[in-house]
Amino acid sequence: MLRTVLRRLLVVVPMLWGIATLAFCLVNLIPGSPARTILGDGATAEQVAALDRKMGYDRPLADQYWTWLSHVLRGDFGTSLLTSRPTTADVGARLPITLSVVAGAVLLTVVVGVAVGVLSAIGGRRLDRAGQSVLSFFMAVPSFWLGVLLVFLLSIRLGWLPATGYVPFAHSPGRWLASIALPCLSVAAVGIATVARQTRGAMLDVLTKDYIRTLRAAGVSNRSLIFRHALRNASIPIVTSVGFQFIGLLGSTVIVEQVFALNGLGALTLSAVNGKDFPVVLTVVLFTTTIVLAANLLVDVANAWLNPKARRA
Amino acid sequence: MSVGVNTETVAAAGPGRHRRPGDKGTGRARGVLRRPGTWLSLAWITVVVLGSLFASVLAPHDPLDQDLRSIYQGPSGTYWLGTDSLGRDVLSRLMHGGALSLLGSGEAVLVALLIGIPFGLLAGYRGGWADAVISRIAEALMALPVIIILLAVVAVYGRGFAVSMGALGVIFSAAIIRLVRATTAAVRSELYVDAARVSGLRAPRIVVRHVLPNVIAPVLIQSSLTLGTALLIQSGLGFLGLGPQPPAPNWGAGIAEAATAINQDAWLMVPTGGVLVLTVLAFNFLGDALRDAAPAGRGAAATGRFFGHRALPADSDAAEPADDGVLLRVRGLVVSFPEDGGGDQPVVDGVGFDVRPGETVGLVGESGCGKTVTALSVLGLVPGAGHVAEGRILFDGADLARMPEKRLAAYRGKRIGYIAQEPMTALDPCFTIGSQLVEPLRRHRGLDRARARARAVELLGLVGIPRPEQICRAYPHQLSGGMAQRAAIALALTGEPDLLIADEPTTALDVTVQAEILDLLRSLQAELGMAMILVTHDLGVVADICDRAVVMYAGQVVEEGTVDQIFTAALHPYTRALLRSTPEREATAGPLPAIEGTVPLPRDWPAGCRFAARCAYATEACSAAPVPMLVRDPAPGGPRAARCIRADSWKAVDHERAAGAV
Repeated sequence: MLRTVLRRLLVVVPMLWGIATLAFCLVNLIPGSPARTILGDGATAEQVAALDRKMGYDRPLADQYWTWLSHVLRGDFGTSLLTSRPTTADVGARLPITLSVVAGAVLLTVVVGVAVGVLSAIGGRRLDRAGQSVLSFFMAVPSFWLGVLLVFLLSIRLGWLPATGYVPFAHSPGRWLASIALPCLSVAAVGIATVARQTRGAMLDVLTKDYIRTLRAAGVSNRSLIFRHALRNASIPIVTSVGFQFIGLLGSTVIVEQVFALNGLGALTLSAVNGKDFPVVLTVVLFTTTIVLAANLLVDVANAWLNPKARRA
Repeated sequence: MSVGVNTETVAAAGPGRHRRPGDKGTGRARGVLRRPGTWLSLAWITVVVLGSLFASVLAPHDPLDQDLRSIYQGPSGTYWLGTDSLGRDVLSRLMHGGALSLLGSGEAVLVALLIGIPFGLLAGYRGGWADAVISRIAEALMALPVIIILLAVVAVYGRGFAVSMGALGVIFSAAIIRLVRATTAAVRSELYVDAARVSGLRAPRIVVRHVLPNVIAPVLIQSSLTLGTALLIQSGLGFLGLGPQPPAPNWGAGIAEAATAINQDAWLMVPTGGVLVLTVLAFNFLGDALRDAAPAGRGAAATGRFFGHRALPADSDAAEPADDGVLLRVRGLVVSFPEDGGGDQPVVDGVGFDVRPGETVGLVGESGCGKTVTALSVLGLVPGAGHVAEGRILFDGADLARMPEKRLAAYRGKRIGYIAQEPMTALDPCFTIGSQLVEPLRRHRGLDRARARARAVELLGLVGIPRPEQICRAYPHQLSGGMAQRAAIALALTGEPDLLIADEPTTALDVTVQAEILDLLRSLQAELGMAMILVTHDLGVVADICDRAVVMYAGQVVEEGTVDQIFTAALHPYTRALLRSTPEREATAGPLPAIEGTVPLPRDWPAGCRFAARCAYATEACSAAPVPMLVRDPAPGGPRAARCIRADSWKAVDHERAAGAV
């Protein structure tokens, strides 16, 4: 087990470094100078030169890269051009909002997706066919469009849930849940549909296996066959699929935050993008990549644990 | 929005059966084309593509034309889909925006293909370090937070879709690389590719002629699904206002505009989102249809039959008296499977035999004769959509064929045990041997966990497993084939059944292990006094262990008798042919004669004798009418019977042949 984690870490760390380098190059290899891009065409040559000096954009690229990397390794990701605060402070302040929504969406995706998938696989032909159509529909629905519709129906028309804003968990757990319920739902719809399809396929596959028949012939109950044996065997493709969905959920959350006026990572990134605040953009890229890689690591570890062949190897 | 990769496709379209140059899998493809959804999707995509590309000609209005007197109008004759906050025609804006959206998504897919196919081919065909490097990079690309990266790209290169969609293509190429790599690696190991290599074809020629044709189908499927995903991501960027400068229309920005105006005119959400949903839906649907049509695709899986066993309606006919000491009496058993074109096709056709307590009956025949289906129907476990259509399965006097699933389930494991052919797949790979034994032990014997555990160890000892405590904690993959089969036998014994059904229990094992397993079954039977049905194609096994044999051919019983009778005086030419093709214990000189021809498929069963086409002694009379079982001797211990019109004249034939040979 521990060896699996260590082996994956050996892959993940260079990967993180590679992506960080890539992101650095993306920003610093802009045609022209970064300062020119930041300040726009209206700025004078002196202003551009001043900013270049201030940010170190005038130094050789290797030199810049080394300085940047050594700072990052010490936890110094730079200063925001817009707020003049450390970028980590900005990102840290927004992260809980985005992660709340992502965590809720992952939970919904797993619970509802697996439940719908299992029902679809064992619930008979008619239910399955109806389920398949609904799932195909939700796989094609953009989360932000769904979000707008949900706000319109459930908040504006029916007044059941707040339309916008975020309440921290420490402030009031109930209102925190209400504030992230709709964003979670709109983000999770695609994930639920995808995971449900994956679950259905995996369950149908497993249920035709020889061991299901032998266990059945040995008198194991249908309930145990489905929920203990089949689901356990189907769990590896399901977990893998959830892992893939995580990236999508994170991306959708960044967009959907706009619909619900949530001041999360998405809002921060968007303002940084519009204001050419490169240090913030770079920090966000590094943070989110780390989160995604951590999620992938978790999936790998879970799969290694779920698969007895890998567990003892 | 689904970013990342549809793993389902990659898995389904990956290694599998491959298409050689020349062969065509058109049957399934035609079925897919007949689906209305396929045509609807194609039609919709055509309409959207044409409407978008020729928007400047076809659009009823200028997309930028404002008419502030007619804002937020619903659909009307002038404005088919209504107007927006500035009185602009929604339909025209969708058409003009569509060109941008489709071109952007197309760009992403094109970039993904241009990068993915060559690198995937290289990684899959070359293997080695190229594969290692390319796969690692693909893995890294797949771990990118797509939207965030695209936002960063927009931050650097400015708004608009040209650069960001190119970047999306680079990220998406990872999925194509993985797909092409897996397919290529699988095709590369095929024999005909080896043959091409040996015959001196150079790698590029081999790739183009043999590998590419196999890669095209999965790539096409993935492209269709990727187009849908790209469209969603691009609309997301447009929704965030990162598309081209307003007032130029794009689909995502249209939804954003509709969202801000939702309190004035909720209708606007419908066309702006609808066109996007329908287009993505059409691409996804087309991808799924292509996958079902592809030769390596798995198609639509049969569903809903898991809870199996469709009981026959109860009838008033009093069951035959069961007090004649028969444990299992099968009579007139017909098992049918639904056909593609509707209607049922019997695969077991009027089978009958008896099993007495403590007796071992061999069910013998070639593959495709219906032996296994017959055996499984006793347990109510006919696979897939098959079902018992007629007949009786009287076990201890109760008709299992007419028993509802709930009551029949109580017989499984407890009264009737089952051993499968392939021991390595017969045990659940995710659970230890012990826990798989404990579950039925607790159910059948009502034991608590600790006692069930102890009994499991005992059972493993009983089936001859050394160090049973240790094996109890082992997973199936840690066992050898012979050990796994012993464990599977222990599983079948948990309920101490009266009847054990063993379906080719030694076929998948090494020859030396086969004898051990047969010895074990024999000694278990002596010890526990169970009856046994042994399904096999191997008459040697029958001679070894059975008391009586029931020979099956093409869904029917063709001969029945004691093992002695079968081996010394077989009545049916099929049995005689089987005997001739069975190796003797002492090696005989010369090649074994095989039976010419094959077992006919159920739909090709002739009206007369089903073996006639392969029979050396067939006459016209054989094919004239169905041949009944001719009972030679209705012995109380089991009849002596055969389904051959010449069964009575074999002695004469043998004499003639002997005379002719001399």
